Amino acid sequence: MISTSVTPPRAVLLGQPNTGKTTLFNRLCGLRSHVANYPGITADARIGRWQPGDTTIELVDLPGVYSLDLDLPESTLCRRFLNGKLGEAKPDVLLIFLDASKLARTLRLYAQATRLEIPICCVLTMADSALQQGSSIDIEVLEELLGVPVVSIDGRRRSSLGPVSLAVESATVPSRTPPDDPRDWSRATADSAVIVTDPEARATVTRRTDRIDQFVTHPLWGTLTFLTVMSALFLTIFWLASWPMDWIDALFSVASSVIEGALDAGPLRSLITDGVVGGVGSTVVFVPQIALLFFLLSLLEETGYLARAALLADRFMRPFGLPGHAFVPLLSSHACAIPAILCSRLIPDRQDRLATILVAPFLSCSARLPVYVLLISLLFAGQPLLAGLAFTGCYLLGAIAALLSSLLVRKTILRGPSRPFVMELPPYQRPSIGHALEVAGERSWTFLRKAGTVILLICIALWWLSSYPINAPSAEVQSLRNQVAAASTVDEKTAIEKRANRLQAREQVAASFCGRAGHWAEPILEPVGADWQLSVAILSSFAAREVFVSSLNVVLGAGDDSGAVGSIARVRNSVRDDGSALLTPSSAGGLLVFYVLAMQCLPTLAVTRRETGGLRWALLQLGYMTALAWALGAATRTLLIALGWP
Amino acid sequence: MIRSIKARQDLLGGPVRLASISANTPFELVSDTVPGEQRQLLEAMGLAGAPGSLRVCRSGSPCIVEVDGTRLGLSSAIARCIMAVPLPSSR
Repeated sequence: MISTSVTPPRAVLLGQPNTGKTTLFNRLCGLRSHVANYPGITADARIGRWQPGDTTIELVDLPGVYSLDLDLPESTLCRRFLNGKLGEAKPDVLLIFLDASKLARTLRLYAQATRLEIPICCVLTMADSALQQGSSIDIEVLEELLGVPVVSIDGRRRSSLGPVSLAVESATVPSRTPPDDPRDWSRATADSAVIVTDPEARATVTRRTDRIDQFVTHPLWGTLTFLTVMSALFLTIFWLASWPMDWIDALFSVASSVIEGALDAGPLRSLITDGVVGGVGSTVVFVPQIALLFFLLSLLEETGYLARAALLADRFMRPFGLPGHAFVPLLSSHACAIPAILCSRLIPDRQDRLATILVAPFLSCSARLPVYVLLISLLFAGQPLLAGLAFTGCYLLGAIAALLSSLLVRKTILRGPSRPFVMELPPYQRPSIGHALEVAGERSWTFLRKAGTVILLICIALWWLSSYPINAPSAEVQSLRNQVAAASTVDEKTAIEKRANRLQAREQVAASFCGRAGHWAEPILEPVGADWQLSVAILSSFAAREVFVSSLNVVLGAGDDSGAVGSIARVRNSVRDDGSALLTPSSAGGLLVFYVLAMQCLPTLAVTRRETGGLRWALLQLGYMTALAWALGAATRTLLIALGWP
Repeated sequence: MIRSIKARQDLLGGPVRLASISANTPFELVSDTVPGEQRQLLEAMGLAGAPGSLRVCRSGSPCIVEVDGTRLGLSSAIARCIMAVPLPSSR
């Protein structure tokens, strides 16, 4: 059936949500896929290449739909795509996904698709769920009734690829077209094709599912379960990810040292070590957390619990204008806002999706942690309990800001009714570790590709801005260099050289484009507690907030002897130009609140722009978050001063 | 169809809101007051439009129903907009 023209034949995957369509797509195409957007439609499709044997097939994964006739973005996209009205030819083959555990329901979409007159083959999934419920499907009878090939697969297994390839080869235009209202037809067809193997099994599964559902959606027990599961999820992520994060950090430090040893001092060495290696390292270090988050989320999703958690969350989130669907994206935002925004594609309503994207960066991500560690250590040195409470407070403040901001946007710029919260609840089942690993790998790669490249470019740009124009060493630096030559011992030489390096680095930053910008921004950022040095760190961390700590160290003349403990001590002992302490409790408090709320992440803005289809939403997000961060940061500092904290 | 529903309502009592139906009872959908645009989705999921049977798995908020072998979680706002009558076997 597949033609042998120059352009590869196109096969389209069509099915209702949760029928295993995307799982098979990922299995067939691996990571070789991209997202296709179409003007005027706020849903998108994924396109990939599949190579069964010597043939290459272009596979299109359309969004899951319950019907082709709905006025919803995903239905519009499917309808127009399948009719060849998006500037592309009609597909060559249609793979329609049928769920063996709810055949009658999924046959309705098949009935609609038969009117398109495209060769069809059906992919039967969830046979294991059907078997659990005491039934199986007679494939031969179903093929006979539909008049098209049917193949039963488990998309999570590699062994499924062969049968799918054969089914695609034998796809055919159905000879029989179901009636316009297919409800009775689909029930009759399902009744004929379903073989009940264990009449009691369905009742047993139903009773068990009812009991679990009663518990996990109970106002008290369900909420406690929810809090326990989420706490365990986060603790596992932060605990387990800390090791690979340390290894990656160490690996990049070694790489940096090797390059420093191999290259002569100069702009090229500085560009590679500070710009390229530093930039890549600052992104890659978060991959373990992202991979772990998506691995665990995938496991939870496959058990069927996550859909129930979203249902429970809808009750708490709906008063703030957010649907239960936003729960998973917002949860992901605690690792990184970029995958969270990508995840928000799961939210069917555009208004809901926009609100989620706008507020997701308020939730404290991993990149904020180094800033929290630094500022909280300065605020509550030697007071672990208060420091712990301050950490919790930062997370809470971000969550409250997200909810209240959502309420605000839904009452103003995103007014209008929300889509009703109706969610299909999948059956409870044992998750597949292999599939979860694949999901984690795919999401991590997406993160690296989308964020890594942008962060790398930004870090190179920042390196240039803080390195140029090159400033001639001052007389004081020259004098120190002269003292190095006259020093009698090696230790004395090293100490003087370090002092000279630190001073020169500080002078360089002060005279660089970044330093000039810091002086310019000082009056604006002074209310939150920043002088020009802190302003440089804030401005340079606009691209990526975690850069704040390293930038501050560069400005304060860290030289080559930086370290976590050393950094905090150095910042604590640093002074402003007037001799006062650089970070007093009030300025540390103001800056902490500023960093909880500020949109200091350029890659996130880039992803917001892409996912919302316009620059204005990204600019709104930047403007709103920055203004709120500045106002509340300044208010916090003022309040702390009024309470007697200088 | 409408006549048969009417006859059943006379026999069994008037339609009740989905939100107030107790769990494990089979019901039949009769009407809804969901606004037009939002109604399409519910119709495609079997929760509006033509009459169909359903079972309430969990009553209250959130509400869980089973339609055509599929479990659907509904917000209480939606459950209040859907009216159903008990099926004769449930009496």
